[in-house]
Amino acid sequence: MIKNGHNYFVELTVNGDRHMVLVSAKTTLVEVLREQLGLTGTKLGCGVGDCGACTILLDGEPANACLLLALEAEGRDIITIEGISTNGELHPLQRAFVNEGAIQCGFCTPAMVLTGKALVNKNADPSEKEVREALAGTFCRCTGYAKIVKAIRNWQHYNEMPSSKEEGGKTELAVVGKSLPRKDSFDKVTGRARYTDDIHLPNMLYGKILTSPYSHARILNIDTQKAEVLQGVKAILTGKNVPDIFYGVSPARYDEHILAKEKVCYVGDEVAAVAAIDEETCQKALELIEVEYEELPAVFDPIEAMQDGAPLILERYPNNINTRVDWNFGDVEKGFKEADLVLSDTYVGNRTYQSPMEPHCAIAEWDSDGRLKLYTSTQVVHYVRYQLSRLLEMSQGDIRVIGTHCGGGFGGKAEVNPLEMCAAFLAKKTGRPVKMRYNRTEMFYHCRGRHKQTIDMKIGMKKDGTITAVQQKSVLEGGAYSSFGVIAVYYSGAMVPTLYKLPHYKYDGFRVNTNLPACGAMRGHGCPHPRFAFESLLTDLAMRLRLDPIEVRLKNAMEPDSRTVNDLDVGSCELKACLEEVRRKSGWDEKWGKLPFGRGIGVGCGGFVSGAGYPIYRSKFPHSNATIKVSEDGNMVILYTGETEIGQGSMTVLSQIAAEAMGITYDRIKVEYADTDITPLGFGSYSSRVTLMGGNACKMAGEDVKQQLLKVASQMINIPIEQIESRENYIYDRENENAGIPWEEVAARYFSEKGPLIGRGHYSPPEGLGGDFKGATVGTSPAYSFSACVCEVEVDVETGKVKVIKFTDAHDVGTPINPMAVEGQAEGAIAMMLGETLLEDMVFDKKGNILNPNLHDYLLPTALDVPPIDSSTVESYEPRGPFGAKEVGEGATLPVIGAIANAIYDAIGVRVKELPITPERILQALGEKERKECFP
Amino acid sequence: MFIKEFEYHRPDNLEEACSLLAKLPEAEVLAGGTDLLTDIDTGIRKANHVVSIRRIAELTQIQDLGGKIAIGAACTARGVESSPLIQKYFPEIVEMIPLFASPQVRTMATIGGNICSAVACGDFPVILIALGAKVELISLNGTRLVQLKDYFLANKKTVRMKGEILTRILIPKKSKISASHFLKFQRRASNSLAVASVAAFLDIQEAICKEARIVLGAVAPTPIIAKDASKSLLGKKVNGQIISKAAELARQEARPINDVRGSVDFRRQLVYVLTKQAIKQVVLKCFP
Repeated sequence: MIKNGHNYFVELTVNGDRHMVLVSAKTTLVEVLREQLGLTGTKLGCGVGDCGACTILLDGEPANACLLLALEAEGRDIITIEGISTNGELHPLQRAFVNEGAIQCGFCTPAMVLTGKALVNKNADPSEKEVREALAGTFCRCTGYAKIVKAIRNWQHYNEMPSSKEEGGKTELAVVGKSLPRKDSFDKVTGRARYTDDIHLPNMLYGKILTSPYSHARILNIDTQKAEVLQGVKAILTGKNVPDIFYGVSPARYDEHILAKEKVCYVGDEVAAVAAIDEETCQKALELIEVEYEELPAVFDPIEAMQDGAPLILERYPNNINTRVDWNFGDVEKGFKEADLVLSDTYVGNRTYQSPMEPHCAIAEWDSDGRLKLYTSTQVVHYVRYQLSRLLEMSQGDIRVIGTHCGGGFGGKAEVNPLEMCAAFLAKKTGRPVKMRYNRTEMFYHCRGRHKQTIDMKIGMKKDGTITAVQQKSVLEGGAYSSFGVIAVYYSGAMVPTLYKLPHYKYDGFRVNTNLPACGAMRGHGCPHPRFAFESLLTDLAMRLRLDPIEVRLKNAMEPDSRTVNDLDVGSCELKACLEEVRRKSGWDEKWGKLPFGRGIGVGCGGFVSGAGYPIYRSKFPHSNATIKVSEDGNMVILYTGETEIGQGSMTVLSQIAAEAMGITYDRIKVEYADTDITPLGFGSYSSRVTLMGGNACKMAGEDVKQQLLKVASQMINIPIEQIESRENYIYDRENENAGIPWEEVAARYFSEKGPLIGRGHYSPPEGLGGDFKGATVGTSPAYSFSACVCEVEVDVETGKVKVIKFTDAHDVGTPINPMAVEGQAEGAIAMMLGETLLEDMVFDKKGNILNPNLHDYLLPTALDVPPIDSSTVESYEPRGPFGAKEVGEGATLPVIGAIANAIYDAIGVRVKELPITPERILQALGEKERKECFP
Repeated sequence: MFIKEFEYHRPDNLEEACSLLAKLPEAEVLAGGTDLLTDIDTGIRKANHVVSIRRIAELTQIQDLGGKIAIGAACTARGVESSPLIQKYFPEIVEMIPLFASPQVRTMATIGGNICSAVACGDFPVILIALGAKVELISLNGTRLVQLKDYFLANKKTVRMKGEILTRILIPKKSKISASHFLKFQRRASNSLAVASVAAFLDIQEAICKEARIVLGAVAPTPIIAKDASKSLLGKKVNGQIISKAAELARQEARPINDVRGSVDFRRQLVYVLTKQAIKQVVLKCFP
């Protein structure tokens, strides 16, 4: 360490190499690794040692690089993810991660590999518990930890290069239906995968946003003079410098300005933006901007907000009612009269946050020809481009949005965000690239989490368990702006009649604005809370009628090829098979009602759309599109899709589908995605749409290539085209498999004779889906997934603590394209919902400040919280899906809350009707029961 | 993080460290840094100068001093966990470590740092007070020993004066018939802060409790000894009734607050349950 003015030269030993770097006293190791040494495999997820994404090995032990001063790292042995593989060859542990499906979004993968490495160095054959304990300091939001634990435990199986996992015998399909490793797994397991924040452009500036400290206030004046003269500041924007154009999600509810124009509506509302040479200068500039506010009365509770005389947040929504839904299908009164038992209850949900491990980040750059290029971590490149074109008043063609690797989304990256918009305007103003990113606290203010719903649910049932009518009222606490709220409040009702045959259904929905951060779309969009309410009450009814809760569900379960009471067309449906599967595998019949006090078992069901039937804004464009380009020698095929990969494995699944359709093997296909200049329009990753819709487009493009090749092949081998098949890189006579020719030879011949071989495909949902009432488009889909989940818990009645012992879940996802990826989605969904049921909750003070905007008080489940998960799929085939496939990502979340809640009820005989089900609430409920028993 | 700029000092020995701390204004001692850096970031602690003590060899040693064990304040949680001396004499500390922070933080965070941070929910102080530990404070003016139970004044306030370094933690070896146990209630299974914690230490001779310390964490501005609860055990044969009575007293002695981690009532209930369980565990350890 040599002092040099205010700075220090220090020599660091990283991955065995010595680097002399110049740092300031406060520079942390993660900054040096990422920004000076270009070792961007070390990720920054929270900056305060909570999330573990920045894990490195410090003298062989895992440590947080964000909490270690670079100067303190001198003389120590530092290993990053880039130091784990040798000469491009993966370490066996890395191979285990790739082949066991332990990678999804990849953002936690470097940390998981390094922690695993430290463990196996000391203990080559660790137990399940030892692995989970070692991983407990690193959050994974995607995988549910199951496959990570498995990979680390099985790492020694990968000392030898694994032979390709070919199952015996020739299956009908060659590529589809196989648990192939992800397309991006090599990059993600080595730290090479570049997320937006890993990109550094020459001459790049940084930007940050000034936000409101008040939950409701008029802006009287903004003085930026002091900030403007600060050394290093390049541009400042306020509401005055941005266009007077509203943006949002649903065109009827565009109600936000990029920066506040007249007033602010929540603590965190965007007021000004700064571009400067670094983030620290931005921060100093923000502190120098003087904003004069006139505080206004604020309202935080949706019921209060609807009262006459409550503070009005946005004038266009009288009584702060952003959206009102009034649905009445059939005649509920008649239905309730037919019932032998009618029960009703009120359930309260929680405000939860997607909390992807990668914070949002965007980089904007303007080309010399006046075009905008935007790198961003998003689920929806197309919608980002669409909104930017509106706000910048330029054609979509002049905007190129590039989705980089994305470290998880879960709905939090499904709409255009202030970083993307401000970066575009700041880059335009300065003529330099501008990078903007959220820190973890900002993520909580801006990530647009799940709406907290208060639900009145009423169900009528006959003695034999038949449901006669359902009535529901949902009040959604929406926060200050609309975001996806209008869709959420429709979904809250639309999906309730999809699982069970409901003859009559009435739904009243209110999406209400409050002076809190806006809520948006989150995995399961609007459905988990009503599903929690419904599944809880359904079990209560079963118990009162002395019926087995699984029997009641079987009795009412939706049948294939049905039309629901709210005019949704259900095609394939194997909910009954899911229920039978979990009943059998969980040992339900031996356990339900028979476990000792404190132990319990519960069941819940779920299901979701396989893509929304209608686009977010009106257009006639096909929802998914694909092109395929075959190399001139025929040995490599590139698939281009506008869909995005946010960790769920879409690109792997789409590659498998396209490869199968063309008749080539998985190793010959590569995929380019989410680049609006290069890839054709795709609506992106939301509403669980990619496997079905993107898959159909890719299948069609693949078949297009195949048809073109078969014509050429027919001439080459002199066999009629109807008689030729293409499979595994070989085109042959179906009647004589020996008469054939390599695929690439045909492709090369094609190119020689006709030029580029291009395949094209597109997909639009069937026309006319849904009924013709107001809001009938929400909930429509080409196909629906179904699932059932059984959960076993142990409740400590003295402390109220719930320990989840096991999940058993079964899913009708159609025919899985990649069973390992399906399992990964189901396991991840369960872990996320375990968190939402028992741990996660956003808490505000009386002024609208978040009390827990961090990952030590907003509690994500760790590897030790998630129990073993026994996940499976049932046999099913969806005719509208590619090779019979449907969605899994969101449907798998929906049975979980009900299953846990019902298991707790079975364990202790009291019901907690408010989420999260905390130890305190359990003790309260037990206390009330005791009081009632003593003083009936 | 946007940490305010500070000057970094890395003394080679204790004397140098003491003189730096004596002369530098707004100087903070840096050990593991896991608390200090976040505190400087959030403005909880101001530091114009940071004095790193991690390289001072004597502060990272664990020694057997005959009647007691001395743990250097800059020993990391991981270092303490893997020390053969600690494993031999204080398995209760080794048992507590997996409940402390995350595996990554345990690589960096130090035992002395956890004491000096003086937050209500710290884990080390609770078990160490139960064990009757003292801390050694050294400055240019000399050395003094303070009972750890008397070390904490308020949340983030201690008796440590400017210019003083907490150098060692001295723990008396237990008699063969005494034992202690630490329990922590956290909302999730790992990597989270205590909602309440309890450590119990009992010396039981001929079935009679001769010495007892029940220490409560995260239920007052500092870790506290539940004096009435501890006293109630003295001279008694420790049975279920006595244990319940002590736990009830501990519940009353707790002075918790409402926050996002738990309410007053809930924390009192936890104190009751954890106290009961901790004493039972100690009894089991005394009479295996």
